Amino acid sequence: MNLPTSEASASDTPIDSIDSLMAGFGRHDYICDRRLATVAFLSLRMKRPLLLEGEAGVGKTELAKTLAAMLQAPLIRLQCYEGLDIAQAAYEWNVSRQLLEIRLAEASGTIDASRTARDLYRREMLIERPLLQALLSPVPAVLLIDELDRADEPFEAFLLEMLGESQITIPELGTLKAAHPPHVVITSNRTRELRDALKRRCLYHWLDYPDAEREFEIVQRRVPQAAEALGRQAVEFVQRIRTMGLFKPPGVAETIDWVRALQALNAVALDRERVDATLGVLLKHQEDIGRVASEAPLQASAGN
Amino acid sequence: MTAAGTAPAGEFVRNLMIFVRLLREAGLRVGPERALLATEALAIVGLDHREDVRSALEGVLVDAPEHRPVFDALFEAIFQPGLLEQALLGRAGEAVPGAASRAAPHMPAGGDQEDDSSAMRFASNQRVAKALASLRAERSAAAAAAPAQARERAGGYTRDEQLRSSDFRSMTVEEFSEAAERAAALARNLPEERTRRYRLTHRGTPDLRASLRRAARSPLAIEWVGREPRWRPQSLVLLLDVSGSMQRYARLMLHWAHALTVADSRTETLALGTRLTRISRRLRHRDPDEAVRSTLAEIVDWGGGTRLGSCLASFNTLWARRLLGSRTTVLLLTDGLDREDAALLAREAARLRRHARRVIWLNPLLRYEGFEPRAAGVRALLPSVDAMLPVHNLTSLAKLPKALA
Repeated sequence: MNLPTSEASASDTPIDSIDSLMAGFGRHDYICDRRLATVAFLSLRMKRPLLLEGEAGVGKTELAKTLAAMLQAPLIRLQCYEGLDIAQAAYEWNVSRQLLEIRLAEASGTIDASRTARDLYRREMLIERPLLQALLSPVPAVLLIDELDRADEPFEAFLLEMLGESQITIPELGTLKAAHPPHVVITSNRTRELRDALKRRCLYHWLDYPDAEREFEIVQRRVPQAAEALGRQAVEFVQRIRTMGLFKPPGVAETIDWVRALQALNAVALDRERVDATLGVLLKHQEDIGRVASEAPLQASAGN
Repeated sequence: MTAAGTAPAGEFVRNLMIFVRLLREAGLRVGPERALLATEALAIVGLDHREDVRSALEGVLVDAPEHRPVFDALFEAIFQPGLLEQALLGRAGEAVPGAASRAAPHMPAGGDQEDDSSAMRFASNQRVAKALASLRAERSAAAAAAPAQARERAGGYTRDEQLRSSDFRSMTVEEFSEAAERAAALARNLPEERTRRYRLTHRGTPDLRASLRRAARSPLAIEWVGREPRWRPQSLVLLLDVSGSMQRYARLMLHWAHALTVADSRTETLALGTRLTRISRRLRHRDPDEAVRSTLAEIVDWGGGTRLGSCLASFNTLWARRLLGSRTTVLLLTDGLDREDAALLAREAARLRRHARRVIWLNPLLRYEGFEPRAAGVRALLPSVDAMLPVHNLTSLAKLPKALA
């Protein structure tokens, strides 16, 4: 959801233990278990990228956002997609400026081929894209490489240098090394397996759906205005339908949206009518909606 | 002495190394640098909390969710609560070999430690047990298990003509291995599809940026370059029936699948038997024989029964969303002989069809001239496939590219 703009200045306490990290997450309304906190803590300390895998909507992206807010670091986000290449991810030469430069050199009549070539490929001619931005950031940034599994495999190979050495080599210019290496968070939905070479450079964590207690806590934090009974029942309902073998089980993000939707309809507890009307918030496949509407009772014990 | 920041005790490190070795035996890829990283992580986290130790090690040593049950089971076996404390007290010298020999001999059943029964542990205990057993026995077992290949009648002759048209099922061992090689070669002929990535050429749409870059290298002669779309192998998902009736074909198709996987590592292969096994990773091994051997070891229900409907159901729920993109072709390799409920099969096949670009059924039973879809399973599948093609010999396999174009 939106970044919490907390007035109690964020990184007031230094992150020096797993507990302080968990507390920091909590202050920014990100509730996680100790397992995740441990790995996140290690990734900060060991300066290794954190690779998060898990179903859609379990809070992978949210973790990076929270981390940035907590460390008061700029969040630089690279959304991956098929066909993503270096020009969009790392850097690009400013061709129009280069052409202008050539015209200028021509006009002033001082064409020295080798010098012009060198002048054309200097730092100012670079257009910085997210990876390079993160690398050259004057303070350590949080770099979120989102849904890496969507990018093609050749792109992963390009990332290796960035992740392992915190540097990018630009053939025309040389190697740019980060003065303040970014904290890297990589997420993947596992639509394909990432390469071992990439995984080797990261710490790995598989994010599960939270248990009922934790999910309820998350809902309470994110939708504080919703009635407690509503939150509890909704979470219990969601937890139950996750085990039904749906095509796309709802994630935590969907639960939050759903409770928001129910709350907007002034519900204080689950009732069939409102549930049926809002199932589209929770489930995004027609066959799933059909199954849940017909098969799932509102309450676990006393069937409706 | 155990506060965060101090290096783990030496005995503990030794224990850790045993743990790493067992993970490796159980099939996790844990290199030496990972083991080193593990000690580094523990130095940061400290040894005070068992769960922190577990999370830290997991973050470093595990890199796929399917390995988590194995990790958990082995972690329980090696770092039992008492043991960890002993290690901390420095009495691990005796505890470590004790742990090894205690865990190893009577672990084969999988869980005779006090708490067993967690479903996850149950699912993985074969690999865990194997790893623990190997701590004791040296790996002569692995070598012995390797040539479990069908040792059929030897002899026979391999004429080119005959090889191409003879049924995979009636081939001799030599013929079969030659056919496997040919099948692998055929896999390279599959048609490609256009991607959204570009490559530089001297034709195609002119590329200003690339031209300029080239001009910078040799400024005297401007050479225009263009770009055109790159082509790559189609993305394929192979669903391979490995039941008893399909055994011989399945084996040959494994070689074919391996060649496809080597040509394009995005190719996914899953084995359907009494349960679903994802074997893509095994098939990625470069050496065909090693790949097929380790794949066969992975498929526990090889040559068993068929539960086609349930297998498709678990594919649909577990993998379809991950592996099927809008451009993915599913190749379903089965004879359609299923003992389960035909209604389930029909429903799941229809579901599969909706999520794939197309489903092509490769049916070795089509070798019979007068094949008629009479079996219940066949009738259930037919409405949901885009095409049904034979794959019982090399000639039929060679015709496949045309159908996929």
